[in-house]
Order: sequence, then structure tokens, then C-alpha cells
Amino acid sequence: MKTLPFNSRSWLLLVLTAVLLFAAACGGGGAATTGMADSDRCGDRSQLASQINFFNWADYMDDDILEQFEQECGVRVNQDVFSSNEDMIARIQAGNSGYDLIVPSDYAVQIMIERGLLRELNLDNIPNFKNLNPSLLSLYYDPANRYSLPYQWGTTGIAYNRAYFDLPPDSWAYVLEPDLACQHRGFISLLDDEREAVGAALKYLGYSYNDTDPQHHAAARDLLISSKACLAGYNSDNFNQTLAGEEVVMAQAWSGGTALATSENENVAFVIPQEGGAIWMDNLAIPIDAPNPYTAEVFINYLLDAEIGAQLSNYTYYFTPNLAAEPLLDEEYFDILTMGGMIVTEDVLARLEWIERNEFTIIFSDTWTAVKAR
Amino acid sequence: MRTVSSPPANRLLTAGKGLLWLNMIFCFLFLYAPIAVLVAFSFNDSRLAASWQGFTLRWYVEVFNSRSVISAFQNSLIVAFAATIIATILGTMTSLAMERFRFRLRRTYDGVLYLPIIIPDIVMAVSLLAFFSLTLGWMNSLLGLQGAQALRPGLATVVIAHVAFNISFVAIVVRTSLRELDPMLEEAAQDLGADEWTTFRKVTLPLIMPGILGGALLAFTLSLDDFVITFFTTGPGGTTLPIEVFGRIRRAISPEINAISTIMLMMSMILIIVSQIFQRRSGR
Repeated sequence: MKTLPFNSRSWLLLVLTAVLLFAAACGGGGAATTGMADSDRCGDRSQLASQINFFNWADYMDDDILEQFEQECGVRVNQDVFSSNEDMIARIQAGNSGYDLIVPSDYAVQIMIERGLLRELNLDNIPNFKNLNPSLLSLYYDPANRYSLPYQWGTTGIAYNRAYFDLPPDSWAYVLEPDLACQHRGFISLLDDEREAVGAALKYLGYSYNDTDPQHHAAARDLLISSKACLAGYNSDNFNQTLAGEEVVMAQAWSGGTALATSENENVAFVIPQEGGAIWMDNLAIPIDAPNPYTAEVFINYLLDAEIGAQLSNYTYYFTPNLAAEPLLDEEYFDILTMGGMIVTEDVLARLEWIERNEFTIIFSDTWTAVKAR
Repeated sequence: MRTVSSPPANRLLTAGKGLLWLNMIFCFLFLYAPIAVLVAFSFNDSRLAASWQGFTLRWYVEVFNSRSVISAFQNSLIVAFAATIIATILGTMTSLAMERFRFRLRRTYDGVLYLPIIIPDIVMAVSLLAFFSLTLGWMNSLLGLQGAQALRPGLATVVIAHVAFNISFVAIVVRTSLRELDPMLEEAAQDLGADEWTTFRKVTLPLIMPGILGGALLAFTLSLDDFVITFFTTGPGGTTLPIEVFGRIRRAISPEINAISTIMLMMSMILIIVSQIFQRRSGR
């Protein structure tokens, strides 16, 4: 066999691999026909792509779920991460991004629909739609859920340390009125976020979180400036650490971060003020130019499964919009959220307001700049 | 007392020395205290508390068990190696052309070469994003590719982008070692009958090799650390380590991030030290 090239062995290896791959593919197909009973979470297998690209926030998905989906349905999910809605929109808007599934927040869904960047969902392919909490559907940014379905959500309220309060500080007055706030001078923080800090002040003054009236904003600005002397500072990056380490005893906070703090220090609890707090939702959506929309819909359906939905929230510590998943959440998750008072009842839900963004909300930047400059 | 008898000039000198020492201590403190804290807390046995709770390696274990971190790490290495090799070859060729030849627009080229170093990352990133979406769009319509087959941004575009900014850095480092090279050596080789290629291979290249390696290591480090340009030029399956880390901070600054940062820091530091050793040798 002198005529064979010197690397004939690598050729052999290549052919062997190809044969094996072919056999594996056939084997996969065979399994699909025989194992129909437990494969109804995979939709129509003949239409599935071999992989999809998923653009998600970092640390916002249990890797085990991706592995299970790959084993069960034979679809590999490549996950990439972004750190702000604006970055993600820029990438999708450039076109031909290659992503099949993205996770925009509420207002970002609205922006993306307006710019024609999202594809209409075919709910026939997403029967688990029925698992979703009806009161978290048909929201302002996508009134008929034509383009997006809820993924995970959270709230903004007041986190506090039980050891320092006899009764829950259930009013924004506790962090904004100087008489009350200065009782814990230097041990209080507000979120370093123009929409959240200014929004809370507006809410306390009896206006909407989204109010854009300049006079109302002037009042909110004065209130924020007067409370500033009592604060430890503005903190939205590691308020969970300062709460758990008792460097602050009360903070305007997001529910998910507070849950993390509660898991470390059981004195940390959470309350939505009587005046009301904010609510946000991250959503599953498919870009207009997604290469594999059908497979993406099957994956959305998979994520909305009761079991998988519970697994997801057990991992993220955020709230699940999946009613069927709620009873399946594990004890640790439940303990922390019950203990921390983060469970959102219908009564509390009615007090929460969505943060909307439009051409007038630029005023929040001005107000916030004025507050921080003092 | 001895100080009383010493002349005033001498005293000034000792005072100056003391200040120099103070200056050095403060410099090191400013530079390295935050890093030391970061590294220390990567071994802290608590997810949140800012106080020391005991030594643990569990964050490192979790990092190495995370599928997303491992794949991001692989991507970072692939990009860094590919971009470094290409940029080093192109950068060395560029610096040779600039130092050894006279051609039209040489001065313009010289100025343009520095641009990637001077212009802000974000400007370069957005222009590359626009460039790739345009050219890939043209190529797709030219080749009739669409849907899952279409060409799109990914690791390859990241490599091209990194090559684009790394060429300048390599070229500058190599040029300094070329300038210090005695042209007589090359002339002597040619006098002795070596043709241009042999001269380059046997004389020039070995002499500027430390500069080339120094430039390559610099390119490797820059490529490994880059966030802004990578984020805007990457695509599906192209998440690198800095992108993964930056994304994770949004949720909570957890000790896992400290662990990843410590690993990256170690790698960068080793590379910088090696690169400095090479540059020092080329300076000799």
C-alpha cells in the first residue's frame, strides 16, 4: 500500500467518525419514534434544528436545564450573555445576529416591537402557555402577547433588618422623610438608579412611578435632597452584601437581590410599601430574523413546563410567572421567600407599577442629576 | 548625633530618598490594594458577607464546573491565540516596511497605524459592528445564503477585530527593536554574498525576535482582556470570559467573579512579565 498518503490513518479516522455520527443521528431518530410518550415536550422532532442560539442575561439560566433539553430533544442550546437591554438591542438591530431566542425586559420589548425587531409567536407551538399566570399576561408593552411571553420577574420595595424594626417599615417615608430616616442615619441606602430612586419619591408624594410633570419632579428632587444626609449612599450593585453584612439596616432594594441576602442572613426581610412599589418582567422573544424560529418556540414551551419552570426559579431566586410551577418550587426557595416576605399576593400585585419609558421620561435623568450633584 | 554633623545637601538627599520611598509605597498601595482584596475574597467562605468567614476553594470548584465559564474561557483562548499569530505576522511586516522602505503615503500610513491605539474602544467597536453587518450582508446576498446557513458574526469576526487593533501594538514594539538594530549588520551580510531573503532570515529576524515575541505577548494580553470591541463584534457561540464576567456582575458580585478575575489576573500578569523580559532583552 505504498501509494496511500502518509496520513491515511487520519482519513480512516475521519470516515469512521462520519459513520459513527451518521449512526448516532439514525439512532436519535429511532428513539424519537419509540419514545413518543415522554417526548411531547419536544414538539415535532422532524422540524427541530440541531442547535439554537440563545441570548440571555448572565447567570440567569440553570445549565442543567440546557443539558436536559439537549438530551431529551437533541437540540443543543448555545447560550451567550449580555448585560443591558440596550447592548442586546444594538446587536439584534444590526441584523443577521443569528440568535433564535432573546430575553428583553418589559420596556425593551416595547422598543423592539416598535422597531420591528421581533417575530410573532405561534402559540400553537407553545401549549404550556396555559401554565402562565393570567395576571402577568397582556401587559402594557405587548398587550396581546403576540411577541413575548414572561420569563422571570421581580419587584422593587424596601429591604430591612428585622432586628432593628418592631414593625415592617412599610412606607417610603422610612427612607425618604428625614425625621424617620435619620433614626438610622448612615445605615440606609437607596438604589443608584434614576427611575427607581426618583420613582419612589414620586410614589411617596402620591404620584405615579412614571410621572413626568416638572413640578412633581421638583418636589421629588427636594425630598430626595433632604433625605440625602441620612443615607449611607446610593447602591444598586451590592446592596445584598451590605444588607447581609448589616452595613445597612434598611435599603430600597430589588426582590431577587434581597432573597440572596436573606439566604445568608435570615433577619433580612422585604416589604412593598403601602404607597406602592415597582415591578419588572424579563420576557422570552424571538428576533425577526431568527434562523430557527420553530425550534425556539419548542424551547420556550420547554421552559414554560411546570417542572422546568420550578427548576429555573429555584436557581435564579426570582419569581416565576408559571402558576403550574409554583407548587413544585423547592423548600429552600419557598422558605427564603416566605421568611423574607417577598411572596407577592394579588393584593400586593395591585400596588405595583410598571416602569415605562417614552420620550418624556428623560426628565428622570435631569432630576437624578440634580439630586446627585448636591 | 550624626545627622547634625552631616552637610545640608546630604540631609536633603536623605529626605528626598524618604519621599521617593513613600511615593513608591503609595503607588503600590493604590495599584495593588484593591487587587489584593479581590484575590483574598475569592477564597472567602461566604457568598455575600464582606467580612472574612474562613478559607475555601469552593468558588474555584464552582467556576470550573460551570459550562458557561469553561466555554467562555475556551473562546477567549481561541481568539487570543488566533489574533496574536495573525497580528504578529502582519505587524512585523508593517514595521519592516515602515523602517526599511520608502514609498508613497508612507507618512500617512504611519499616522493611520496609530489610530487604533488612540481612538476610543467604543468608536472602533461600533464601526466594526456596522462594517461586519454590511459586508456579511453583501456576502450572504452574493452567495445566496440565508436562514441557518447565512454567514454571521461569531468568533471569526472577533478575531478579525482583535487583529485590527493588535497590529498597531505589535508594529510599534517591533519598530523600536528594528530602530535599535545596527543597519551595518545587514549591509555586512549582503557584502558577504547573502541575498535579501537570507539576510532577513539569518540576520534581521533573529535580532528582532525578542521584540516580535514581546509584541506578540502584548497582543495576547490585550486580546484576552478586551471587552468592548469583543462584545460588539461577536455572535452566537462567541461569548468570551470578560463578557461572561461583566454580565454576571449585574446579578450580584459573587465570589465566583473574584475567582474568575483572579485566574485572569494571574494569566495576564504572567504574560506581562514574560513580555517584559523579552523586551528588556531586545533593548540590550
